[in-house]
Parts: sequence; C-alpha cells; structure tokens
Amino acid sequence: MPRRRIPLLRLAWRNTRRHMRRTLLTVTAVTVAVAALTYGPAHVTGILGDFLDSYARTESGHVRIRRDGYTARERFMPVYLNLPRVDELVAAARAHAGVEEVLPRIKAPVLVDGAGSNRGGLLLGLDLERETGYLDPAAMVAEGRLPDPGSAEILVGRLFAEKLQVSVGDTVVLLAQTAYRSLGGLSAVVTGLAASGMAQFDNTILIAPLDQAQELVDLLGGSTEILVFMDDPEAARALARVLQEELDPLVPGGVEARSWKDEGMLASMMQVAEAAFGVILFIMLLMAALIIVNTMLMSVMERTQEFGMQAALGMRRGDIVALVLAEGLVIGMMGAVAGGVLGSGFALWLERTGIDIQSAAKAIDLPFQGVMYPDWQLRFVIAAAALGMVTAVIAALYPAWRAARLTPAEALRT
Amino acid sequence: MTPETLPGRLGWLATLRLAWRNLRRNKRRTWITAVTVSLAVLLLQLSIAVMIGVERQSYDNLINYQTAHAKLYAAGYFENREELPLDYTLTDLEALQASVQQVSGVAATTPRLAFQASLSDGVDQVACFGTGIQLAGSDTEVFRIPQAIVAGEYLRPGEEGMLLGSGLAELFDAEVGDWLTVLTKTRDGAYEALDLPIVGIVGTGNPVIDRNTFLVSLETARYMLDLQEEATEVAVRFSLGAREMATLRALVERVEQLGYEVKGWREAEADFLAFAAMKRLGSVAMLSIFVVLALVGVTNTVLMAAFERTREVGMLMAMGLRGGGVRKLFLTEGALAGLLGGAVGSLLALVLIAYLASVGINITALYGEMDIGYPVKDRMYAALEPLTLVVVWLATGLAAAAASLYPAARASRRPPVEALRHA
Repeated sequence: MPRRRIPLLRLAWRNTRRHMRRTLLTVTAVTVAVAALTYGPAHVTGILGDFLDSYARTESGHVRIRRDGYTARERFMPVYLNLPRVDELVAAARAHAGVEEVLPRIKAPVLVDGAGSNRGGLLLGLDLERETGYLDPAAMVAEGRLPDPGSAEILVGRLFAEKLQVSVGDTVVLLAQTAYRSLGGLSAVVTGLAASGMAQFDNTILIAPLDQAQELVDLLGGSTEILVFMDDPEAARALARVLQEELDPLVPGGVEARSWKDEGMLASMMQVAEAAFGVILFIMLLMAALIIVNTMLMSVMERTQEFGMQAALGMRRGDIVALVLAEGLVIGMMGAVAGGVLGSGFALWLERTGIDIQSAAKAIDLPFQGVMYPDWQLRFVIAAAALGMVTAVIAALYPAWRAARLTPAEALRT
Repeated sequence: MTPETLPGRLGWLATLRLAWRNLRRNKRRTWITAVTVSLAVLLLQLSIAVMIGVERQSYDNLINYQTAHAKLYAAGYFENREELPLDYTLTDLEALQASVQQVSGVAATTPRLAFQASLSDGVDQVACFGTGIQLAGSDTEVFRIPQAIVAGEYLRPGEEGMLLGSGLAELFDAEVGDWLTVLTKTRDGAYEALDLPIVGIVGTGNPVIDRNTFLVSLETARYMLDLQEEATEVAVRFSLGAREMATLRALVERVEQLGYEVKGWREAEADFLAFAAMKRLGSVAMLSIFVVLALVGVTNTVLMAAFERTREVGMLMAMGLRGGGVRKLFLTEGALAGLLGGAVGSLLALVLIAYLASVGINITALYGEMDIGYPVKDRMYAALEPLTLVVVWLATGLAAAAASLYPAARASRRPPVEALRHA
C-alpha cells in the first residue's frame, strides 16, 4: 500500500497553535536568545571594528614596516632607527597586488617652544595629500588650514596649542633628536589647529609635511615607518611575510614588517572577547533549550492518547519523532524571526543613536572616540536565527524520543 | 490542607507545604526549571563577585599607591594637575600637617612633590613622572610603596637614588644598581640633569606608577627642581573604620578657609570610576538577558502547572478557597522553584568564587601586558561575600514569584464550575 506523505510541518504548526499562550512563552525563550545573539556580534564587531579601524588608520596600518629593533624600543620613538631612501621601499610595497595605499611617516618626540613656555609633543611628518582617508589630517583641521609641503608650516593639536598659548599665524620652534642623535631645530608657522576628538591626541600632536619633518630630524628621503593599507585587511599576515623577505636586504640593519594582527594588545583583546562571547552564547542557548524541553515534554505527555491513536492508525515511530521535531522547528522558527527582528531593531537603533562612553573612555589609554556604534550585519541575524532553530530542534529530541517510545496499546490505555 | 485554615484562607505554612508537594509531583519539570534558573544565578553570582573583587582591588591599589584617601593642594593645582605644575606649591608644610592631623578620622599625612621629568640611559630618553617622597617617617604611613618593591629595596633616609617603575625598568632594560639620568625643568624654566642609581624597582599593577613613574627622596626632588621646603601635595590616609565622607567633609572644613583645596580619591579618579560604572552597566545589560531567560522558564513552568491542575484548582475553590489563596499557592510554587534553582546556582558559584577568591584569575596570562583599565597586579580576585550570595539567592525567589504572577492570576480567575468541567 503506498504511504501518503504526512504533512509534518502543517501538522506541527497546528499542534503548536493548540496552546497558543504556552507556545508563545516558549517562543519567548528562543526570541530572547536569538535577539541577544543578533545584537552581541553587532556590538562586539562595532566596537572592536571601530577600534581596529581607527587603530589601523592612526597607528599600525595593516602592515607596518620599521627598522629592525624598533618595536622593542617603541616607547622611545627612536629616530635613529629609521628607514633611509624610503621612496624605493614604498614603490616596492606598492607593486604588490591588493595594496591600497603605502604611506611613509616620521614620528619623533619634540620639544616645542611657543609663546614663552615649552612642552614636549609628538611630531608626525606626513605625506599630507595621500593621508586623506587614513590619518586624515584634512578632516581634523578645526581652524586655519593644512601646512603646505615645502614650507616650514605646522598643524598643532588644539589643546596643545592652548597650553603653548599659540594660535594660527604664530611661530613655534621645534627641537628634536636627529637621526644622528644630535639636536635639530625648526622654526615653523602655525597654519591651523587640529581637533580629532581624542584628548590624548589633541594634547600632544603636531603635524608637519613629511619633507619638513625630514629636515628637522636630518633624515632626507627617509622616514621612521611605512604603513601599508590593504583592500583586504585579513590578508595582512601573508603580505607582512612577503614584505619582510623582500625589503629586509634593501635596508642596512634590516627591517621588521608586522601585520596589525600581530600587535600584541589587539590579538589578546580579540581572543578574550571571542572566548567570553562563546561562553555566553553557549549558556544562553542551553537555557533556551531547557525551557523548550520542559514545555514540549508537557505537550507530548498531554497528547499520549493522541500519539497512541496515531500509532494505532499506522503512523510509524519515525513519523512521530519527525512530527515532534517539526514542532520544535516551528517554535524555533517563530523565535528566530521574532528574535532576529528584535535584535536587529535594537542594533539598528543604537547604530543611529550611538552609545556615549566619553567619560569612561578617558580612563583607558586607547584610541577610542567618545561614541561607540554597533555594526549590524545580515550574517549575524542569519547565524543567530539558524542557531536558535537548531537549538530548538535539538531540544525537541528528548520529548520526541519520549513520544516515540510509547507503544500504541499502552498509550491508548492511559 | 489543615481543616482550621479552611474555608477561604490558607495559612502560610500550609501554602508552603502544598506548593512544595506540588513541585515534587513533576520532579523532572521542576529540575529542568531549577537548572535553567541555576545557570542564570551562577552567572549572576560569579559576575557580581568578580566585579566587586576587581573594583575593591582597584580602589585599594589607587589608595595605596597613587591617590591616598585624600590630597591637599594649593588653590589652583587640582584644575591643572595633569600638567604637574610647580606654580602652586604648599609651603608651610609642618603647620599644615599638624592642623590636618587633628581632624578626627585622619590617620597619617605626608608631603609629596610631583613633577615632570625625562629619564635617559644615554641612548634613549622617555618622558615620565617623578615623585619626591618623604623618607624620614611619613610616606610609608600613607602609601604602601615598600610592599610593591619587586627588586632591590626601599629608599633609606638620606640616600641618593631612585625607585623605578617596573615598566620603565623593562623599557630601559635596567636593573638595580644601574644609573639613569633624570632631566627636569625648574619652575623658572631652567633644565637640570642628575644621575641617580636605581635602588629598587616598584611593581604595583597600576600603569600610572609602573609604566610612568620613578620615586626619589623629597630632598633630591627639591634639589633637582630648585625648590625650598615645598611640596605639591599633602596626601592623607584615613584611619581604619573612619567614615570616608564625614572625614573628608571635616577635612574640607578645616583647611578651606586657609585657602587650600582638598580632593578625595573618588574625585581625583572620577574618570576611573566612570570607567568602572560603564563596565558594571555592560555586565548588568548582559546578565539581564540571562535573568529574563530564567524568568521565562519559571513563568512557563508555573503556567503549565496551573493548566494541568485546572480541575484541582476548581475543586479547591469550590471548597471555599478564595482567589487570593490560589494566587498565593502558585506564587509560592514559583518562588520555591526559583529558590531551588537559586540554591543550586549559588552553591556552585560559592565553590567557584571561593576558588577565585583564594587563587585568583591570572590576568597576565589572559591579557598579556595590556592595560585592562583596572589597576590590578598579576591576578584579580573575586570577593567572597556570604551576605551578597544570600541576598542574590533570596532575590531569585522574589523574582521567580514575580514571574509567576501572570499564571497565578490566570489560575485564580476561573470560576470553579468552569474549572471543574475542564477536561
């Protein structure tokens, strides 16, 4: 006798509707979990992503090339560990596929003499035009204009300028250790004030055209680092290895090419965030699963006679299991949809309004701006919804097994 | 059901006994619910204990090594404190200390001289903070630097030398006995240089100290900065058990008319407190998701129980039990389920917390050399507080009762006749 296909999903749908309130409560458990799982990655990616992005643009690039031994002495910012004839190196790096931009920078601690008072600051010598979209000095100009390459001009952090008591049009004198460890000086006109929103930065920063910085530290044609930016930042490690091999012989004393993924702080931060998120995710799903098990067990027990009847009418064990699993799936789907909508709504709302961490950010020495934004992505919703549904089906396994274990006669008798 | 409690009312004891029996009627369901609740409670208790522990450790660290309980400054200093200016110094130190010492709740005072400086090993140079401390008698009565010495020893009175932050020592690859050059700028803008041997290395876990600070005797600091009997601050430690806010207020009253500023450590470290508050808020947001899940579980269970027992409830009501009694019965059942799960979770948490409170979490292994925002050294310890554990456990019962409100109300609203007819 040919067996008629059992419309499992439709049956399951009807069964879940028999106790709408109970179903909705069970669905709530899945909803909460899926919403949290949708928002969680958006939150982490948003903050970490924001942080990584701003760290890469202002500090590390995707691959950073410096003279060998620089990293160990990083805090001193030693100009004597430098890269001479930087144009060759830049051209070599630029020749690689997937490289978006290559930027030489000079970083040097300087002593700045303003209107009668002097202070220590950090000089950045930049290729000003090319930096647009990276360190983006043009976007930081709060007053005045960018310095012109070739002339002794300088952009000063706004808070720094306040403390030096200088404003646009004034002249400041910079003193710095040169590449040969002697003392170099430069007198420059302040053409503008910079405001990045990061207090640490605005308090110490001076931005000069690369050629002026080269002159100050006596490093014509050279720089202290080269930042490589890539179309696909994930490929940074491979490129760093290639560049290490390729550029090392070009520089006396050797180079070190490090990818942004190997910056110790970033790596450990991501590891901890991922591990913590994994634990949270697991416990959340476990709790949702337990709630589903509880409800479905009750619904199965209630329907003992019904299952007995169905079995007596020829429904096989496998069919009963499939039916109960399908009910779990229906609950999972409802929760996945509601949770996905809820989590996405929350993430998108926060993406618009932002989370203000201004005061708290000051306590940690990280290049965070005042407001954080989550980063909602469709794949987070899909992953969360899938996890929610899989969990619901897995949770339904035990009740399904209980239902199938009944023999028709016994089940009918109860 | 004891006869004297009927009709119409159920005593608390009878309610409890009934609810407990009802819970035992479906053990599997009760346990599944309890496990759901226990997971949430476990996380809650653990997070609270770790949070309290790390915050307390941070506060102790700040007070012991950096901020003391309060500091006195000359008017105008606090506003510009990040600059470590030398333009607002305290001069009449002994009289000031004597006066402050009389305030009730003050245990000890010590003058300090904070200044900007650069350290150099002849090759590299780095900007950092110098602190002049009084060796004859008083700095150790306020601060706990000696217990943070990781190599070498504490400065002796009259000794020329420095205590170097461990991060700076690592940076210069310097050891006890090595010499570093200290470059300073006097108030008049003249530069001074002085070679000093490293007498000890200080590792506190506080990045401000470890990565940026060296300490010298007050006399050495004054000599380098060309200052007389001056200090930039007088740090104050409160006696054990003194009420912090009251002591601070008394302190303010004492010295304000003299033209000094007093700042408690909470005000000085407002940024850190804001950071800690943000961390707390983040944890609360995350934990609340688990709490919601657990409550959904409880509501669900009680709803099922109420549904299952519709006829029974009808019977009870037909025998004279009022709606309030039925509600109480189901609320108690929910609360007991919550308390059961809460007890399991809390006991598990207790074991873990006891472990984390004695052994601690190795943060260096977790985060490497990264600044995690809390000034904590090497390990962070959870705070084992029985009272908190019990309060959270009892709160679980309350929350579970609250989660049972809806099913309880539903069960009590059905007219007995209809309930009895329920299949």
